[in-house]
Amino acid sequence: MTTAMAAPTPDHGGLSHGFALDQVGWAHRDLFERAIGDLMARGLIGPERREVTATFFGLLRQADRGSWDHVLRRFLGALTPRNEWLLEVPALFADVVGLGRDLAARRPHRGGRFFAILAEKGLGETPAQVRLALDQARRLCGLDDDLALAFLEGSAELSRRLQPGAIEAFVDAGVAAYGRQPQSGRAFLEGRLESAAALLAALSRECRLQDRRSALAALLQALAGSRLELAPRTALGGLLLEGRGTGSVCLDGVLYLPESVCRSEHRHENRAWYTLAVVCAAAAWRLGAFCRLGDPRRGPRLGDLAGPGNLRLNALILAEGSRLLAGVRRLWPGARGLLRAGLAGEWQSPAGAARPEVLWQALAEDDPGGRPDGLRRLLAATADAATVFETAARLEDGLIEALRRDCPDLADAVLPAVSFIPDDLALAEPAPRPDARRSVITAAPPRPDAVGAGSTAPVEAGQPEALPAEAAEDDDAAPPTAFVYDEWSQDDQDYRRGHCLVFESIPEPLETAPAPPPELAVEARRVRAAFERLRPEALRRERFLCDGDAIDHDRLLRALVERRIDPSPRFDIYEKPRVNRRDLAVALLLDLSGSTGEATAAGPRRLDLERQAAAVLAEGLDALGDRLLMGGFRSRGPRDCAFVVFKGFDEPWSTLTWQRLQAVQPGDSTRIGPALRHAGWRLGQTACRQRLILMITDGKPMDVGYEPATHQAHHDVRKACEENARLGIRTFAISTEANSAADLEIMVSTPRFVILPELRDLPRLLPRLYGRLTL
Amino acid sequence: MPETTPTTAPHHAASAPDGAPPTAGTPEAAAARLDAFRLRQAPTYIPQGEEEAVFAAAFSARLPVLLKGPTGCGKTRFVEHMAYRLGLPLITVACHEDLTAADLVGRFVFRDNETLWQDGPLTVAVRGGGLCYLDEIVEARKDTTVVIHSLTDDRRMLAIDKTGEVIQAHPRFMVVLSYNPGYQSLVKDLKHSTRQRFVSLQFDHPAVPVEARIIAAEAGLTAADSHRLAEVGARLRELRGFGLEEGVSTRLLVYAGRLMRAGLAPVEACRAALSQTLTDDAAMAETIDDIVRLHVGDLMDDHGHGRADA
Ligand SMILES: Nc1ncnc2c1ncn2[C@@H]1O[C@H](COP(=O)(O)OP(=O)(O)O)[C@@H](O)[C@H]1O
Ligand SMILES: [Mg+2]
Repeated sequence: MTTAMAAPTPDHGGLSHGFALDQVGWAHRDLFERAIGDLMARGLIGPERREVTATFFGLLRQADRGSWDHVLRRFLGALTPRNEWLLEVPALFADVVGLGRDLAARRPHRGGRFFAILAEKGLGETPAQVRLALDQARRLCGLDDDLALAFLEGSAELSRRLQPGAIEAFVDAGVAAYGRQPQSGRAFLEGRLESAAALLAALSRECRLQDRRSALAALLQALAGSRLELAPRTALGGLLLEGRGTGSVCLDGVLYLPESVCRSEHRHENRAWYTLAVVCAAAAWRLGAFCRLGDPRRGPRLGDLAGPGNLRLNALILAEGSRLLAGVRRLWPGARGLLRAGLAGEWQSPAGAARPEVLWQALAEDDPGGRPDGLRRLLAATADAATVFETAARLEDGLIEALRRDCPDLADAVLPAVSFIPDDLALAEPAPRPDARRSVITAAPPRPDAVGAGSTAPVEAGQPEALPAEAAEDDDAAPPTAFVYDEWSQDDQDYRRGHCLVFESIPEPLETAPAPPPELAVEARRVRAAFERLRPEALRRERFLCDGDAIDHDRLLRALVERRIDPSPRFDIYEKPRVNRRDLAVALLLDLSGSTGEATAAGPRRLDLERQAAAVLAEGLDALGDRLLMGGFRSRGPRDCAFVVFKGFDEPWSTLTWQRLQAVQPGDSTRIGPALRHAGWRLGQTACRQRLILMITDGKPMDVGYEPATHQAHHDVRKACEENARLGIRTFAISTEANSAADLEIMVSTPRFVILPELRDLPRLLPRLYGRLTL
Repeated sequence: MPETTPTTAPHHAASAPDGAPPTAGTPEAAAARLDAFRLRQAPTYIPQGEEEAVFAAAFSARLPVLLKGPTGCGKTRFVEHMAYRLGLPLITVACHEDLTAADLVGRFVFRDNETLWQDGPLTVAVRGGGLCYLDEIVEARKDTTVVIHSLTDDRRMLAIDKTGEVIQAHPRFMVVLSYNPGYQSLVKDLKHSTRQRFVSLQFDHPAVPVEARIIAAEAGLTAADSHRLAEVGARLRELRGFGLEEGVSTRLLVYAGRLMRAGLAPVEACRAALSQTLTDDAAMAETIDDIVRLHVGDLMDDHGHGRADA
């Protein structure tokens, strides 16, 4: 590919690759020369690997500051065989080096320490681990560089022992300690404090709701057979009664579970607890248990159903608990073992041992013989009740009296909860209604496959929601409409719902626009002719077939004549209409941000080159018969993303569209994600089998609200591409060197982009590229 | 296309399904050829509702039928069953994008020094009487599907423009289409002008007791095992909105049953036929596995628990 980035040019003043050895304090030169030579010999850097080589020398060039010699020596020392793999992942390597450079820029010795840590301990063993360590370190740098270094000291160990979410929790604790006293915060993160060790141990066996939430939400819906949602229990705020041992609460169609579970020494048992809680809640739902009724603060409470007194309430709890678990065992025999283990674990816990024996007797699978007669009679009378109402209605006085006789303690206090069974008495009353639904983890995955795919998808499921705009900017043009899109936040690992508003508009044609320059017209004609030849003829017949729809009579005649001379002539006399038509829609997106107003080395502004390229391509596609949408994007923050349409799918390429294209001026910033999502939605509405987005951008995604040090924007772009891919829409990016291959690797995956050293070639290259991509 | 063929072109019977050369154009030969399409054995069919009565009524009223429903829910099986019950030959065409009108209606072939007209499957059924079943009709292009229009209204006739012939459909001719509306794609939707010519029968995933009987009959499992598999199916179909929009087909449940019947442990059989078939997503496969183990295994022998959370 002629378009890849040029290698750094040789520099005769010192070694090569633009790095002059005389920049290094001369005592170190030897060492540098050897180290670089060694890395090149091992093929870790060199012309084959432009991306990392550029990163590498980019850092070395800092050596003109004499005080960096130490940093750079450490850096070279860190490229040990164990860390070599980092050089295989250019984007990651650039991030690692970037963090070291930033630390060193503030205090050289910190940069040195950073690379020393990298050399001795590494930052993790997989790209995900290293990335997480870098993200957390960046976050800590905001407080104190030394705190970040303290964390990095221990981060390899952390990533070996903890799940990603738990690492964050550990860092949170370190930050809290730092808030109390900086010294102890650093010691904590380095792992030198006992409290840190204890937390580490706890975190390493705990299971977090976050880590399992989509699987559990799916299980809940499948088993309950209706839309039950899953939410962290913190969403209930301070509403829960203390000391009941509540683990699970099911309220108003939402199952609230603790954010993490650390009841057992073993992680898999803590995982299993969640499964059990979901199974029990689903059974409660299906069996018409109390939680099916809605919010007890508005409707009847469990006590209202049972009648007056603790004894009656406890009788109802026992009967319902027994009915529920019997239902679980009947519906899902595969849960029996888990249930048995769960009950045993609960009973053996210190809290469990304090609970009345009768509770365990009621919940056990079959009567081991120890059930008091009063309990036996109660359970027998209520076992086949269909709902909690029916159970309550069967609590006759005789049963209650028998229970009072055999289990007198039951009248004393209300029974506590069993952690994995929904606790119907968990809520303290009276209380204001929590704003629970807002923070609910919905049972649906964060962004279903449906960005505009079907008209049936609800708005929150990713369907862009068209809002009438408050103020139309231009009264003559069609009023702009706002489309609402989610944006991915890499930090939160979740979508920011409805974060971006995209306004679509059609520019007023610039009637004074000059006609395309003559050389462009020549190029356009050439492309048009080339594409015309490639156009598959829908009407053409495939001929000379040995089998087909119709007989070609000329061929038949010839074959008959030939047969007189040739004993076995070719009998290819059939023909058939050709059916493979091109069926492709493409959205071409032009970057309109301010930077495209800059002039290129060749003279014209970048935007002008983009326009010319777009025009040439449009001519060609007109000939090819592919459907083209030509649009541009720019933004002023997430709430104001513009999507300008120069040519719609159904419009012909004409003077009008050319004049529209000439009408826009470069300005504002670059928010790519919403533009891709909107283009995806537009493509989703076409009936073509193949769909493609071609994006031309000259700059990094940069807009209000993006943190420059992170790759947040890049990750959103990647998500947008993935969402589109699920709809069968491929994305291809054309970029200038402002985006390194490392950036593009994050945004779109490897073979899906090209970097042009110069936009000057764009008008010539774009049609070729298009041909390669689609023909 | 030269229009040299006289209207009275002699009709030679179309080739038999095995591709044997056409024999002389006698009515007996045509009947023999149609006979090859007759079902020899009664297919197993467990009715889901009133579909048999509706279909039989449509046949005697000479109305075409459109079967709607997700894949693998028994549409094809139902057509086979009805063809057998009504004593009709069944000619099935699996539709695809490259299917042309000639593939349905027929074409000229050159054989033994003669240009012969060879009837397509649709024409065979139109002439001799029989059930022509166009499976997955939305896969065919729209210019292909229009050839059935004149057959599916009061005219009940087929005009063959290449021969200039107009055939009145045999009284025992019937068209049946099947169509899976679940695709929900703009491209693949049935044109209204086509759709409005049919009596429609909506098929759906069967209810648990019916599906249990199907599995028992098709896979040879015990009633209890079949019921548990059917229950797994019903639970998995609740996973709409989690990427399993289509739901699991009866066909896959039957496969799982056959693997069990062949001696595979139930959990393994379901893993092969269900979890791995339905999804490539690890978390989703885990959920499916959990559901399977809840019904036919034990959550305690857990492969998932040892697995690292991705
Ligand atoms: N009602 C039924 N009776 C018997 N078998 C059925 C029934 N429904 C589905 N099946 C089984 O499911 C399989 C798939 O059915 P099929 O008719 O091919 O589905 P479709 O045509 O709807 O895609 C059949 O081979 C059969 O084993
Ligand atoms: Mg079928």
